[in-house]
Amino acid sequence: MQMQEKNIPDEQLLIRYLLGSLPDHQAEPLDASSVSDEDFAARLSVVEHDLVDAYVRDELRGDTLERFEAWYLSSPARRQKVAFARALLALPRRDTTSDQPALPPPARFATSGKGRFPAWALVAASLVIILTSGYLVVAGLGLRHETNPGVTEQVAVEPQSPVAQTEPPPQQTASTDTTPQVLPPDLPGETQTIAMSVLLLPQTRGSATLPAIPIAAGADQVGARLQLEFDDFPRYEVALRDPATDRILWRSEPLRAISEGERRVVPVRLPAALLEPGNYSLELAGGPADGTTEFIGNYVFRAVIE
Amino acid sequence: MTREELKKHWVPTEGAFQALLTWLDEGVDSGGARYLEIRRRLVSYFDRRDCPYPDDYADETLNRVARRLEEQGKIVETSPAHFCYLTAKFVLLESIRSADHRQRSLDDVSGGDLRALTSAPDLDPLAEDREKHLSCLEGCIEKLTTADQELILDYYQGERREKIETRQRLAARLQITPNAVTIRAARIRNKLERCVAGCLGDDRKLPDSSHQTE
Repeated sequence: MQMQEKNIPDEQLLIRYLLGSLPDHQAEPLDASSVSDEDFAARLSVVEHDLVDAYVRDELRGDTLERFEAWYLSSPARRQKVAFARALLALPRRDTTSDQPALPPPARFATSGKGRFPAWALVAASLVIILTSGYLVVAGLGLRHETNPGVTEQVAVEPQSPVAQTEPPPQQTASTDTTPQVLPPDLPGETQTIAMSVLLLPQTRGSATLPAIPIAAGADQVGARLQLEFDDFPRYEVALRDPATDRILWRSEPLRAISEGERRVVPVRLPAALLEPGNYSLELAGGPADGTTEFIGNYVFRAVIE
Repeated sequence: MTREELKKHWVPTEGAFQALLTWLDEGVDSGGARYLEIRRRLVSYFDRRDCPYPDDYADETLNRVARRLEEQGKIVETSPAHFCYLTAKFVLLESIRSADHRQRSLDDVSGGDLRALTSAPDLDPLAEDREKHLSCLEGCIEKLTTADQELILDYYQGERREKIETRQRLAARLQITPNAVTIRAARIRNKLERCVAGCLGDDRKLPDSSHQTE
């Protein structure tokens, strides 16, 4: 590739340059290239677009996020880039697998009533409704299901698919995996229940049967452990996608991998209220402690409401 | 060098401006696209260097280059783009000496200013400005060629793996490498950004908005 032949600096250095973090002696050669070198200018544009998009998608973390907000957003012109990215990323999705010509631009924008709303706004509104109703249902149920023995039995009889195991991790007790668990409260005075913790393996082409995750009524959270093929990153993030609507329903906070015997897994807890009977995909991404993440793999499962 | 002083500087005649366009094109008629691209790079350069009016400094740089061209008839010692950078460095040094140059780091602003900055309408167009941003973007996308419309809309579909797969399909469909798709999308996006800035009425961003979607 031509750009690599010309030894264009790596992405992390370009990000530091774009965030004004480089000392002058390092920044000046990049300044010159940014104006006079075609390939460098093009690459810099790409990295800047990705950086801004990552900020808009709330994917920046740590020092990068801090620097972005403290320096990058200090310029009106750069804030305009962020505003532009927000508008661009709010454009409605379209079928990218089609070879048909694009529709005229006005038809691409969803219209609702008097005004026009980006698709994500409608999704966000739906999520608020789902979360609110889910909370009310769970609150109404109280903690009746915290120690419901039926859930243990249901988990035990759930057929084991080739890529789903409900075995407990070595450092955990069996009851942790197979019994609804009363977790340490996240907030003072609040008690949450977790249905179980299922081990999921990355989706492969040969995966014919989806692993099932039973969700006990009244459970606040559903546990899953995503097995890693390689533990390459200090930080992981998980997104829950509904393939039926192709929407991201939820994103995790930064997570760390832990050891279970010889394997490394990323434990994650999903809000049970978001799950209805059906298929879902957990998308695992990893990255440096304070940088952007990259996609690692899909972990597909079938939610079964008990 | 104040903003007012910048405005008072030499302004190229139509002939000088045409000579500048021709010189920047280096023998390949770009219809003004090359000028806009060099100007965009200069604006970004001055902006990264915390110049308060990066568009004005970029224009001043190009005006000086045009004047030099008119005076000398030709500039052959270096490439047009590199000569523009060398000229920009001088403009930057002058601005640093000027009392008009102010560091815009947030270190210099109060907490209230910081909140005002980070909640500025141009940062978050999610309220009343959202509709205008989307309308402008819609209008600017309409001005693109059909091929560019399809590319930019497809390129920004999806997230993570889906995004990667979409871009691979796009590259296959266009019969170019994924890297070439990325570069092409970036150029279209830069063009759209200029167009949207002009549409929003911010003439500091693009005084020559008539050339935005060449």
